[in-house]
Amino acid sequence: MSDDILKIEDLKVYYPVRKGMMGKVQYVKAVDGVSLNVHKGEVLGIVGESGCGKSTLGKAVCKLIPVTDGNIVLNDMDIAKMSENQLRPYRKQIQMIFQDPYASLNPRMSVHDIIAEPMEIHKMYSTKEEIDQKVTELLREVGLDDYHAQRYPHEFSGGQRQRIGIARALATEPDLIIADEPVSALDVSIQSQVLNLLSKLLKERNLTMIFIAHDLSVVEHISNRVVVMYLGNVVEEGTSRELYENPLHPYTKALLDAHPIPDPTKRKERVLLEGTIPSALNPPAGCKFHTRCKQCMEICKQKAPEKYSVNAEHFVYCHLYDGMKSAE
Amino acid sequence: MSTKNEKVKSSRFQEFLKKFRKQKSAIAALIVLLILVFIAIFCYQIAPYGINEFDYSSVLQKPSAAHWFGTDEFGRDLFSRILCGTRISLTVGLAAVTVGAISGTVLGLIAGYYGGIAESLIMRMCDVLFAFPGIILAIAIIAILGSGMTNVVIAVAVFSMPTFCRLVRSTVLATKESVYVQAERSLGASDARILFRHILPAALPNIIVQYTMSIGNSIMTASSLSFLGMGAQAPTPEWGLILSTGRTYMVNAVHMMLFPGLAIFITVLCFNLLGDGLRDALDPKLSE
Repeated sequence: MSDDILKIEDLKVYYPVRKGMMGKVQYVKAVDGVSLNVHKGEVLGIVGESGCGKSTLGKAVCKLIPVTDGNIVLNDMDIAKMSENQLRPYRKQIQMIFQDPYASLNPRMSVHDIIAEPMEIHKMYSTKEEIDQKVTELLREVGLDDYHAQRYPHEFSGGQRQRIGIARALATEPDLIIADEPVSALDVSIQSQVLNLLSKLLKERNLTMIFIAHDLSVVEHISNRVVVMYLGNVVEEGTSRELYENPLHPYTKALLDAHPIPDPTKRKERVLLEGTIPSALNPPAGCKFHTRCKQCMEICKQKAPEKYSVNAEHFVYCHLYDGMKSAE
Repeated sequence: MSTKNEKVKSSRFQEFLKKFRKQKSAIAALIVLLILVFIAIFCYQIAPYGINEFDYSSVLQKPSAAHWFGTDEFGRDLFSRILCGTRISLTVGLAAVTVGAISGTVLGLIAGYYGGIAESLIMRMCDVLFAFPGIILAIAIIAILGSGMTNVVIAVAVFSMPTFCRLVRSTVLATKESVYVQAERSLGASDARILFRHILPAALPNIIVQYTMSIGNSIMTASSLSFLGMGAQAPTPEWGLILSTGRTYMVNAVHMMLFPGLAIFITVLCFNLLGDGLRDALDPKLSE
């Protein structure tokens, strides 16, 4: 499809781990064969519990960690195997908003310098005045004031810092923004402000974004489509309305059930997961979810499920839907 | 905009000054050191006598109004000689530590940032240098290169280098993995930009403190080498050398050992006090 800004094909990110001095090198399969597309102008939410590989996926797409295998096609260019020098011009097209606004800004640089940094790196403007003007514009766009430019990060609150991080990500006018849990480090009251800012920017700038989070209501609020990950794999993918109203995979159902409803009079039948996520060092064979799945069948322990399509936009990786049309 | 930025930079500097001003002993040390620097620059103008003005009619005299620090075995004025020795000691200390700090910082940056074989080589080399006590290492280097002040500078530089190397490497390792350096990488910054704009400034406070402390240490080592006859040669008015000569007359002319010893003691103490004060003023943990 030509309107895909990013295509991830069978992406694998393994971390080598050596146990003991002479131990065999094992691999933590943080992302184990993920394929997905991001359409132009959409917000793709990625959800999953801690350790499912969603952050690793985001960092790998940004090429902050080496990719073991697979393709990352950004605007028809495969960036997965590029060297740092080849990659540099393409870095501009893909920007990241980090989870912790306290750690992601250099404490020794003024806000002006932090936001000007990407513009200087990519030599986007020739004069200092143009950069200064652009910094002021960006500050206003994210809801900060002109005079904030001369301050240092420690003089700001968490929400304000995250706004600075957003301004920095916007400075290169990227095609794709990867937001790695951008609000999870903030107070709830501030979360909604930052989310509203993001929604506003998305609309105004017609941005494309991958939004990584573990908070389902946040993802529902902002995303057009949602991908659910479990232990390095995608388990379900669909438009956010479809997924929230009609979850098919047992894991998605459990995730949604665990999510509280803000109404104490309503009590629903909950399918809660037991145990913890298995080690990614030694993931279960077959369907990786079978150890915790209430509807586990014999086949789940032996064979990894294929991608079944429910409709054009809704896909699920589960043997319960073996009857459906395979998407491959 | 640039003027505004400068204003901010200067206000940060003022913040440092504010903290530094509370370090009373460091301020005192700084004043003494400034006086020493002044003496080092104008020593030949201030000195009441020439450094090689022999006067055989007044040898080994006790301190008096004419000769504040007394005279030595050739009747030379000790006060004048010690004043002029300031220039030698400060020059050797500064030169040696500057060379050591620059080379150590560069090696530390390379070792910490690039890792791999370069890191192993550099750090093992530092381990080898660390295995020797400083003075023994300096003696070994002098033994290879021969005596003389230039070689003393080289020797002292070599043994102050690994401390800087380790210090810088550890800061690089800590900073390299920080999220803001990752953010910088995702922006597409080159290695040089990351190293010199983001990692080096993070290491700078530590380097400054270590630099100040090392000067005192290296003045001590340089004097020790001269004392042992491996640095400055007579008739240079080097403190260690004067001390060494004074040893012969220890019983009947104590002042010949007392004053050069005192000069070394005060200089080294001041550098250490200044270093301590700087550390307290620069330490980010104490700042908030």
